[in-house]
Amino acid sequence: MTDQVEVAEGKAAGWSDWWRSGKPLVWLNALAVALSISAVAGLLALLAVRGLAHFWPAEVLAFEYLDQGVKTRVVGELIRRESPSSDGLEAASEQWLVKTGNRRVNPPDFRWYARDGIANLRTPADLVVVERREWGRAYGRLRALYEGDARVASGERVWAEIEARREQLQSLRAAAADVQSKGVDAIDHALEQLRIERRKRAFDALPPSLELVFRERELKERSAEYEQQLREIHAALNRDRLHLDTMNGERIELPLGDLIRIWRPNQMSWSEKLGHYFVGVRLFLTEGPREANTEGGVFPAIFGTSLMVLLMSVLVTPFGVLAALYLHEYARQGLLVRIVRIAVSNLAGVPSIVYGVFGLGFFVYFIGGSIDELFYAHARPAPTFGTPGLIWASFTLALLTAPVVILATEEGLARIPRSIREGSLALGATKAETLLRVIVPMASPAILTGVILAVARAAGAAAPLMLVGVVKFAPTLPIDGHFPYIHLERQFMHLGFHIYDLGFQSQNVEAARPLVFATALLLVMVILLLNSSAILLRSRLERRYRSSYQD
Amino acid sequence: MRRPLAFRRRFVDALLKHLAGMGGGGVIAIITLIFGYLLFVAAPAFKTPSVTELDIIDAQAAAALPTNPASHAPLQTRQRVFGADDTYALLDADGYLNFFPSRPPRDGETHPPPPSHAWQSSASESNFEPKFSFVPLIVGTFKAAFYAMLIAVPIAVLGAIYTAYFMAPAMRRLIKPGIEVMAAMPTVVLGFLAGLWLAPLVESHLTATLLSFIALPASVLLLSRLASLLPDQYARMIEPWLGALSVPLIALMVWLLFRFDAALESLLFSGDAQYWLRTVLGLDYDQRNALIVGIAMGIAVVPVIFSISEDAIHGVPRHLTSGSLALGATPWQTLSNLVVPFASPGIFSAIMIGFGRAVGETMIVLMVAGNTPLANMNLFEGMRTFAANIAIELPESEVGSSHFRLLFLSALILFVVTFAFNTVAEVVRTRLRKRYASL
Amino acid sequence: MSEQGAAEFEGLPSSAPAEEICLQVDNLSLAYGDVQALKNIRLDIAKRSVTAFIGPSGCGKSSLLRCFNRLNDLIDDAKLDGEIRLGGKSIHAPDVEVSELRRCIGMVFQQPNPFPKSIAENVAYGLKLHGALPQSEIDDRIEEALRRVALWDEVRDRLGESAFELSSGQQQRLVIARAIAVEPEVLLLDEPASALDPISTLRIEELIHQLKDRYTLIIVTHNIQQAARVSDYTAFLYLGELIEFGVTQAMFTNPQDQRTEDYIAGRYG
Ligand SMILES: Nc1ncnc2c1ncn2[C@@H]1O[C@H](COP(=O)(O)OP(=O)(O)O)[C@@H](O)[C@H]1O
Ligand SMILES: [Mg+2]
Repeated sequence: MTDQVEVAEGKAAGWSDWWRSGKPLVWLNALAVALSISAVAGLLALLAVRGLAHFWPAEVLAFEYLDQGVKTRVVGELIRRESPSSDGLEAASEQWLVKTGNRRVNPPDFRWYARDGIANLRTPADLVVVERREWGRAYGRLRALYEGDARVASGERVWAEIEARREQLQSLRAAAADVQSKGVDAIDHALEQLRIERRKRAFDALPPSLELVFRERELKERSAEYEQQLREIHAALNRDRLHLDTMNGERIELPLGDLIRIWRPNQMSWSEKLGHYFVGVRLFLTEGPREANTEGGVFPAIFGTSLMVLLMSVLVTPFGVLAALYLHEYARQGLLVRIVRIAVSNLAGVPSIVYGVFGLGFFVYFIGGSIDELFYAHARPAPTFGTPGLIWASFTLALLTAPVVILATEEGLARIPRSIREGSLALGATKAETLLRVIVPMASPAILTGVILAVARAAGAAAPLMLVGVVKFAPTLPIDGHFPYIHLERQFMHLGFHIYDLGFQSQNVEAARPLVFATALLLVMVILLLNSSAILLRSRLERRYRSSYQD
Repeated sequence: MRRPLAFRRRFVDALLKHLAGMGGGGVIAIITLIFGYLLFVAAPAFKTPSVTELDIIDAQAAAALPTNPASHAPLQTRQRVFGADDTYALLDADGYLNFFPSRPPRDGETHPPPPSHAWQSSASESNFEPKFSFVPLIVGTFKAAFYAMLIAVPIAVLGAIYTAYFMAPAMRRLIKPGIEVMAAMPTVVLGFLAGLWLAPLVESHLTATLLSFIALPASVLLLSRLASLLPDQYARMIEPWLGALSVPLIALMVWLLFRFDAALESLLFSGDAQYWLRTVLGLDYDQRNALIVGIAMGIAVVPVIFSISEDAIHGVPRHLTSGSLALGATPWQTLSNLVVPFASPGIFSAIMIGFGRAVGETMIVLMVAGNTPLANMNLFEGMRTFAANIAIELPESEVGSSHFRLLFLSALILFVVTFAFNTVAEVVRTRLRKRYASL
Repeated sequence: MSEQGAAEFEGLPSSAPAEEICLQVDNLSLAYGDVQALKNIRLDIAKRSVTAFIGPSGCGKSSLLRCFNRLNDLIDDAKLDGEIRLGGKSIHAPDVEVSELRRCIGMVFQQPNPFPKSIAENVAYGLKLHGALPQSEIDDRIEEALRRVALWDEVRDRLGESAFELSSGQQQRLVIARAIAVEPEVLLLDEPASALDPISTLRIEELIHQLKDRYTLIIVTHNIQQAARVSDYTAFLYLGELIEFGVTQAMFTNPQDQRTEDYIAGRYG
């Protein structure tokens, strides 16, 4: 069409000729496409830049700030500059947002400074940044390292001393984690089981058995032992304390046990910065959140999302495939099939929040409540399954994504030539044998495509999940070492909801902002990866059929 | 041939047949179950009171309303009244559904309170009466969807026309999946970018934002005029690549506008666009407003509308268009007289599906709309939609209360509305597919 | 259904074959919705012979062929009248097991339709359906079937490769091997060579000659020369009706019906 020769059209010289030729409208249409492309590219670029920048060890600035005659000394990272807003004020100065950290001794940790008041701007090489378990980052100069009350190093030598202790700290932390999980947590779990046992007996109007009482006592004693061990390890961890000087002369005392990372960005080489960067990315992916989600990583959210998506796939795949088999292989093409098809397209169009409401009412309150009544009567009124949780989220999202799997599978079935089915039937295979041995295996790439698309959809669906099982912070993962290992009734964290929570529920928006971008980038990358693999799979599939069956 | 089939084979055959039947039936069952369950929970809000109850409520309301000048037109005598255990709802003369708590009149009152057309489910005061009128939520839902469609439909449909009809095939193979990838973008990410990044940006560069809506098309038209002065063969050569060529133009225009925002603002609005809006047009400005919702949700529904319309336009049989071109019509005439009318059912159903999406979209409005239940269409103020309202209030709502039931009712309304839109779209699309198949 | 007994041969348009009868088609009519595809067909097919169905495109050859193994059952609006008997027993009797019937009456289609499996798995597919055999037995049967279609020497070293790797002529022979591996009595071939090159066609025709000593073959063909070359009996169908049926030699030299003569002379195209 595009290379059609236009005979009738002369040179569009006048304005009205130009308008009548339709060309301006073509240009406008092109603008629409360009806008869509720009939006896609712009969004991805924005996410990539802001999400990736977070892990880079930024320079730490030190400057003097003069505000209404008062001079203060400031140390921190420059977060962003804002040109003066156009509210009519003449020659307003550029504003700098600086992360000054040290939230405990000197809150708040983000401050605005006018560029005009900033003087004596430097990047001293000896400034350190400390990432710690609590209170966010600390900025300052190393002053001394104490072992108990004894000062073991001061000034420049502190750095080497910390390096020297790194391994010991790590092994102590590992030991603490070990005692915690194998000792304290295991006993807590056993005690909880006994408590339930006790309640069950009470429910049946029986007194606790003697054995139960003895076991309880024994467990409590052992628990005390473990706690003692834990206390000792913590004492060892906190024996060494680091002293930092802030710019304003306050002193920050930091037990080494609290220290996560320490670095001197102003004297790092490029390769050191790169190494620091990748460690940062690793920590983000493998650590849990801290400080009300504004620090630390997103591992529980990745874990929760994956597990939920896995359960959902297990539920939705057989259902979607069976429904597609019905539509394409079994049903007579009549009114009923038309109704089912309309139902599928409607299922795809129902707003996701409606699934959430349905899931909450039907799965959580109705089915979960009934399960509680039947099997967990002793635990009531505290709900077990009658409350939002992993299993209900998986069920709800299985409903939400069913049309995706159905449509993709049907498309795959439609591509298989009829002669294959007839060939199998003509050999005496039953319909089920034909489907199970030939047709479904042939359609399996299409089914996989559908499941991948469903997974991508579920990974980003936040709205229904906030009603049926996702929480901003889950103290435990849904899988652990205690029977039955997968705890389907537990609430869990989810990447999509994590973004919403960080961006909009956080107390400390500025602190959360880089993490939202990083989390969003992670989610978008996962989803794009899933989608492009689905697209690739589909095109490969098309090519394979085209080459093997030329109709 | 009379040897009976092994039991296992017969069993598997029957089993798969029945399982598949259950799978197909399951789809209908799920739809029915969702509808039925939502209705079941919401239904007590619709409980028809006994005749005496109805009389009493109606009489009271009828007596009460005229005395209150702030309320809407007085109730007619023959009106539907819905009663619940502790709530009743009135369909008033304007056709609004109003919900209010039914309680004995307080001291000094002889009647229950009049409808207020407000949604206010909780407050700090102790003697607070919740107000459950759907009016602000209906207006809010419609407003969000309306502005989103206002932005999405032109971009998606015009873009689809260009992509399907004018674009170079090599470019189309890249562009189409590229835009469709957008459909997979989680709305929570769009919402967070719009709320945390776009909303402050637009607030501080309002003039530039508003001007972009005019400046972008204008500059493209200008370029097109310039291009028309080129020799024909060059003009024809660049046409299939315009989609990509305009990207730098957009970038440049947007950069220029935002760079010189302050100057433009003092030029056009004497220095403060928000102040100008408030004083001259009487419009309030919220940071999170319908404009941002429109842009963000527009971006979310563009791929949906684009993809379906593009398929419809691209599917128009070649022999139709080449016939028209052979008769001497220009490509544009062929397009507007033949292709677009032919594909219009497809475009129509694309818009329906897009509207269904916009009506039910939750995360974007939740994060961008500010969620104040206002009942106006001001572009610069926020709104609260049904979907966002459910997301905010359902987790806190007491199970079985009127509030809980009304939230289920709003989910039911969303379900029914989107159901209607999708069914129409599907039916239209099936027709279109048949039409293509018959050609 | 139709009446039984001595009268059943009377309506035949031409003399019935003298040998033992394998399949009897008795007053068969078939309609797809409103389209009447076959009208009152009567025809007997002799055991261990090759019968060719010829006729212009759309005359109902494939439809008739697909009646023998009841493949038309799959089409929702297909309606069948009359009777087909295999070894004297109706194939529509309620106690007939369709999949067992289809095992007895194998079919080869116009397009080679191997399954996306290995060559060996393709041949073994039918075997594995109809009862558990030891692997050594299956291997033997695969070899035997492939030898029978003269494919063994070409593929013996690559039995594990995908069947799609074969040329379409080889694929068609593989499909025939797959069909005879389950030891059918009858083999239906629906234009088995029309999608193949001349050399492959020749090999298929040779194969048909060789298979005749064990199976009853019915072949649909567009190609009159092919029918003359391979078949013992020929049936000419026209607009859903059986116009003429008899010994191939006789029919080609001395057609009884004007329409047959016209068709053989190539006047229908
Ligand atoms: N599945 C079907 N549905 C409806 N009509 C059919 C179907 N299959 C074949 N027909 C019709 O039946 C007639 C005979 O077709 P067919 O047996 O395939 O002819 P042949 O194989 O001789 O070319 C044709 O008119 C064809 O259109
Ligand atoms: Mg045929």
